[in-house]
Amino acid sequence: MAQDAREQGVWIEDDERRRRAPSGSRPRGPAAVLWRLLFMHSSRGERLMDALGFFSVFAPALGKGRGRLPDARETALRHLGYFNGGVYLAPIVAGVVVNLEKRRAAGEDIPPAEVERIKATLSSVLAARANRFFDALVIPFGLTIAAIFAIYGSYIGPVIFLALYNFYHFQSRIGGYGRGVELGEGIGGAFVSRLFREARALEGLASFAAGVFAALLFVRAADAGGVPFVAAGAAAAAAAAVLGRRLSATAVACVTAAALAAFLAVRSFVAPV
Amino acid sequence: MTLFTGTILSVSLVGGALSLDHRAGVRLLVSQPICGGLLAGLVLGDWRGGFFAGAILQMMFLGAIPVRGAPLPDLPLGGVIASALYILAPRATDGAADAKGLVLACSLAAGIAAAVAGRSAVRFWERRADAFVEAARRHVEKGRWWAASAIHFSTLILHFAFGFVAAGAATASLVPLVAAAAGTAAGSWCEPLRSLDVLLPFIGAGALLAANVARTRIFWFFAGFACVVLVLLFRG
Repeated sequence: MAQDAREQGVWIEDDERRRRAPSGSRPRGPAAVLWRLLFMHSSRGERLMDALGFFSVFAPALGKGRGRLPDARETALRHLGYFNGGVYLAPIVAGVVVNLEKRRAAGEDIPPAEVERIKATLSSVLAARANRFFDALVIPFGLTIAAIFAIYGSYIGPVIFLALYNFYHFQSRIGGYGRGVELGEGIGGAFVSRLFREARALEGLASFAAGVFAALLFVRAADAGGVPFVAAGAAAAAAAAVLGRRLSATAVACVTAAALAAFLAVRSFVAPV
Repeated sequence: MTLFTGTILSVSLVGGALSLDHRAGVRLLVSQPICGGLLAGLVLGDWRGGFFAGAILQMMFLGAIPVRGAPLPDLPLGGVIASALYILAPRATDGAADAKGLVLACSLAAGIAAAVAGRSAVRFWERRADAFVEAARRHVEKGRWWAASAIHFSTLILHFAFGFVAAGAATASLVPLVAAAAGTAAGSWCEPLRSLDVLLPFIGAGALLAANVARTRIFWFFAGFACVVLVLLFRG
């Protein structure tokens, strides 16, 4: 029953090969490791990316296993090398590496090159998958819902946005680390392909919410200024859609906002309110 | 003057705290302008105004998605500054209340400028942050693993300090300027700008439309659009 309960959630991997780390190698507990996962990207640099952040999680997670590693110094320096696992699923990679290194410390014959290979492969695959899910789907969807409520001055929107986003966020970062420690290199293609299976449904919902948002803007514009406002809004939306292919988001926002301000100012001279 | 210093300090603290969320990668996303504006409004005693300015800024960038590493502006910083200016500028002069539209436009412009500058600061930081790794490597070679972790966490102070200083300095320097502009232009050509909050969100709607052009997604986009229209038609 407890096993079934653990399988519920974002990921289901009941047929995954489990390579448990030896006893005593569970995460050292929330105080030592889990909170560090949230600050993993604080020292991100252009060349080595999150190398130092990765190490700051790895070092306490390894704990006393450090003393049993025959090449502790080399291992530490190795894990101070390039690491770019993205923000959301880097903890899975950290968990997998902790699992492997603890097993090495316990005497299992795992070549360091194999650890590096798994780390690099998982990093690139998981980063791409998580970035797409969060940056292109969950965040815009949540913010659109928040914006729909904000149009009418309701503060419930940000609450819904934060709840929706952080549900996945914490499952990925905190839960993902636990999964990594538990499964080790057993995390494979099947696991990755099952990540965020609700993405397709969320994609449709996000598009639907965007349509609702756009329609409500037109309704509000019609109430505020009639046909001229609706036309100006439509022109602004079309301009933003077209210019967005050529210019940055900032440039599009500035150009379109300036045009809208000019429209309002000129209109007041042509047809005084 | 004491009140003003305390007010700026409050904005600085919000800026610093949200900088930790955004720059340090905590990513609870309370730093998004729609939430950050509300927080800034709460500490300044006008949560409606803060939420309003933050929400408008958020809606302008609603469809902006970081694709292939393309940088987005530092919107959390911009949100705090825009909200603070929108609340504080009218307080600084009596006549500014009549130029709400101009105050909103100036606040958003300042917020976007701060967001762009903040993004440049992030790029500057990222180009130099590898020096921390080199320092950590030297400690690890001597067996001091704890020192390497300490170096990593020391960067949190820098992130907080950046948000603290940037939000405070921008607010302190720009409030008198926006207040002066609003006081001068009140009752003149800038009055129609009060309708900007109705039109500016269309920028975000356009970006969302562009992000939903794929075949199945555009269907759902127009389904959502049509649903609202149908509901309104049936309601008369």
